[in-house]
Amino acid sequence: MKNQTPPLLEIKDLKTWFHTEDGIVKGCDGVNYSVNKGETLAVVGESGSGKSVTAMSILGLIPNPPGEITGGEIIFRGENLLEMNQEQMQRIRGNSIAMIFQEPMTSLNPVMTVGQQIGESLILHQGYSRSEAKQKAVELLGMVGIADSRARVDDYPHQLSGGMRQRVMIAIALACKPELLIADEPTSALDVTIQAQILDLITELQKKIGMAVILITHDMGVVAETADKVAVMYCGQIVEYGSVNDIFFQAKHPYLEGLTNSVLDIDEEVEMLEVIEGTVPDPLDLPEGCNFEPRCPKRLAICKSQEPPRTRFGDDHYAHCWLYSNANQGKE
Amino acid sequence: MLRVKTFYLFIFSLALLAAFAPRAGLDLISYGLFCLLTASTLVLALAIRRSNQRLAAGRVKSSGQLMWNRLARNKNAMFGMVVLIIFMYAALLAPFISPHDPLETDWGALSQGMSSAHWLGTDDLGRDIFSRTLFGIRVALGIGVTAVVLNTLIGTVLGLIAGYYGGRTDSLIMRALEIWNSIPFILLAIAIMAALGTGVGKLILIVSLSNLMAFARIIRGSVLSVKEADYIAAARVIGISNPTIIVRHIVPNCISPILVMASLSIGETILVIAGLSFLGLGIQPPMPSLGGMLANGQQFLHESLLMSVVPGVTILLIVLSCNLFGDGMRDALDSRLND
Amino acid sequence: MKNEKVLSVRDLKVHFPVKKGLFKHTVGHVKAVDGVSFDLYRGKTLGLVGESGCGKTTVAKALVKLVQASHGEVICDDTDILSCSETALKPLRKRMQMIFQDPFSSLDPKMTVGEIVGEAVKFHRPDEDCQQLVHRYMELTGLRKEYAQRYPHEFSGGQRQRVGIARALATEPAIVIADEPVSALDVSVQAKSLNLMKRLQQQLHVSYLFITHDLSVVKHIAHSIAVMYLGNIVELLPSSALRDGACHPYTQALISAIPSALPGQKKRRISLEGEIPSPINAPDGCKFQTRCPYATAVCRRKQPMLETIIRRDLEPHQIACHHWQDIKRNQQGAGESL
Repeated sequence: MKNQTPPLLEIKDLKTWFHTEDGIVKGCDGVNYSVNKGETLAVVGESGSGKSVTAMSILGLIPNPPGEITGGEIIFRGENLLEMNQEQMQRIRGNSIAMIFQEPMTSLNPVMTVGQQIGESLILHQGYSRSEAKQKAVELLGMVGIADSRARVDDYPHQLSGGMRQRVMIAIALACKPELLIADEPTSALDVTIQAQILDLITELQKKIGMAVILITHDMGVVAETADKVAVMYCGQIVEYGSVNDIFFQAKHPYLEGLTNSVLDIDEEVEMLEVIEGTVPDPLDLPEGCNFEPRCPKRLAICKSQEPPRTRFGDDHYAHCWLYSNANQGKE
Repeated sequence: MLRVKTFYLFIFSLALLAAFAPRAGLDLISYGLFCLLTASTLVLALAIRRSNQRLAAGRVKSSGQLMWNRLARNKNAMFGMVVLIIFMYAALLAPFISPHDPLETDWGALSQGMSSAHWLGTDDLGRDIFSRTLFGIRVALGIGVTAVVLNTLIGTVLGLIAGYYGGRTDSLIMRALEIWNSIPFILLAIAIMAALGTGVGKLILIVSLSNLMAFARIIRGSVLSVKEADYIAAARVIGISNPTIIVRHIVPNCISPILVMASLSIGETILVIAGLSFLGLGIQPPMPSLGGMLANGQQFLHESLLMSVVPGVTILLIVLSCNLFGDGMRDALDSRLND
Repeated sequence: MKNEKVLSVRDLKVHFPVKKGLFKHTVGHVKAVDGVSFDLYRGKTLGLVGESGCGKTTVAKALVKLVQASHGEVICDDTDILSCSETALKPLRKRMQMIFQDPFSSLDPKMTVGEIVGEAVKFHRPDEDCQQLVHRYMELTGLRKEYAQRYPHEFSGGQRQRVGIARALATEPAIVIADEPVSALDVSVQAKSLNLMKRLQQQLHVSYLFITHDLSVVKHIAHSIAVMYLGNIVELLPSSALRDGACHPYTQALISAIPSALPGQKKRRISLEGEIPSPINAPDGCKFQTRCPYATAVCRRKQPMLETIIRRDLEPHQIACHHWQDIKRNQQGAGESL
């Protein structure tokens, strides 16, 4: 069933490069994905895959220098975010697009109370007065599941636990009822019981407000539970993209297969785990052709010299791999 | 490129060495030190060649090389470094290259301007300003460097012990230093001079004991953060004793703030010495000192500007180049830390 | 080979004094570890699992004397480590080594990899050929011996962790305490590191005390698992029993919190209501009472002790709960009616 309405956010061929003294690091190199209203897109990858860089590019948070967006478009509600000036971007940040980060310890300002930080975006974007903002902050704290919110609103971040701080971050992000929430590894620094609660909270609020979520993670379990669509990234490029069922039950790309196999499942009993050979290549020295070729158990001769084209496997499921490309027929 | 420049420097130094060999007897210590300097330029050239080879073999740059690259790009720091090298050569070679004896008075040429016989003129007693300046640089750098080395050593040791052992030891050392620091420096200088007399040794003593607080505090801060790293815990789990851990693990990782502070404080120290000499507390006449020359020149400002301007500008150049180089070092090391 | 006990920990307590006021007098104690006992057998792995603040890292530090224990015995080679002097401790240090969590701060950035591994060798095995040993342990962990000249910043996180493992093994210890050794690594690298540690255990018969917050990780490497909550072990069980045999409500909640492996398999989550008590003012009785769905009056009065429910030689199952029998019966009943 093809979705007829245009997506809420669409990234087309995004390239964000970093100019270092040793050369150019291609943080993301030709990334395409989109997310619709009310949908959750999970962006999966390991360190160096470019998943965070892509998300930071959406909100224009890439430091320049050394970073630079060298190509592509980011279409949000029909407008290209890359063509906006600082003032226009500021009206979007925190208002229509919000972001929560991995480390709740360092993402909150230690010298402002929690209530003040939640109220900041309300005062800035929605013209609330200070007392109105504080009232709304109390409401929001209740909404994110913090008990005794009337007392908590005057607490400082260091007085709260990690899980509570992350909830505060969510409250800040949701204060202006954004249409899109970007969550960059929101639960990696938290305990597993709190992780489950935070993910449930995000899903619940998502249904309530009807917002879209881009969830960046390295945890396939989190993906399985919360995502509708998945984009798998490796070395700055998307290697496979599809619905969550496609990704788990019809995985095509060897990297994705390797990743799924490396995941530890409490229900399985294995002697030795399956691994992906080799290590992630140096971003300054990426291989010619397919980035994954040096480690791929199913590599072909052509993989070494040419980058694989996109192969579609039905609605919205594609992968970049020579194994499936028609042009590959007979070229073993 | 760097290797070539260093090598040329070595050849140049060797040439000078040969040229002054016959007159070596004038000042054997200086000559000996200059030999050492020449040898070290050769060693440096060889080391650079070795690290270039290593780089060519495709290895990643070491942190030292990265730091140097960053430093080399900083034009101000390079200017400072070049000026310092020139001054260093001038200081070591002063006995051999100065056209006149700095103490020799020429009653026939009092308060003269620049001439072919006296490149920068003469002072009120007919002494050649250029020669006196050369020897003044020698004194300033010599005492300055020695005092800074001592100051660094004492401050670093205190900071290391306070930071690593913490607790009571830390409080004791820091409080003692704070008390010591609250004594105004000039008063301290006068008191020590009054008690022990003047002289180069006492001067070095006073300067090296002043302002220990800054060093100790910075080193202590550095130690506090290095101490928390897992590799220190790993060394303890192996069973290595505390003094060994300090020397083997903590010191190499705290070197950067030490280096930066030391290079910045050379300039400061020279200013302090010049100031003391200006006040008559430092280097005593007739030994030439830049501060003394300034003090002397003060009285004759209307007659001979050169007497004040030359030592003043020299002090300015030395301090400026030390500061530029020190700032450059700090920037180069800081970005490495942030990598 | 006889299954010998290599380490025995009895009633370990670590209480940190809380000092307040101008004269720093002690107003209370943070009971980070409050009576922990377990045994470690040769060639086996004991997993120590718990969430942040449970005290598992403090246990590790107390065992190697990085923190001072307040009470208890740690017996290795018939000697109590805690009451030993530092000089008497030197031969024992050789027997117990540690791997750290952060591969970036666990190696001295100013030393080459060879020097890092060599430091341990030179200190404990000065009579042997250091370079040869360093190369041997590097190759054992899968690092080429040519890498000995390189500096830590030239390696990836996974490789640095291997250096840490090589350093820990270089003294030929009987026990290696691994403090979250794979938590900071990427998923695919985690699998490799765990395989490596397993292989080394089979080759060298070294015992691991494996500390982690991740139940899925611990299941793959540990033979027994001890679950900690606020300074106490609440359940000790063989890892094969983890999925279905866990009896303590906290363990069950932990297991249910793990995200499911495949989409469409949404698990029934046991959510823990209530606040985590402060470790300074821990309540009387069972520490889990504030969040336990089965808490009753006796739980608030008396702290449950670890009792053995199955004694199976090397794989005992112990639990500290007043009501575990009822809970188990309820669950079996619920299971049957499905």
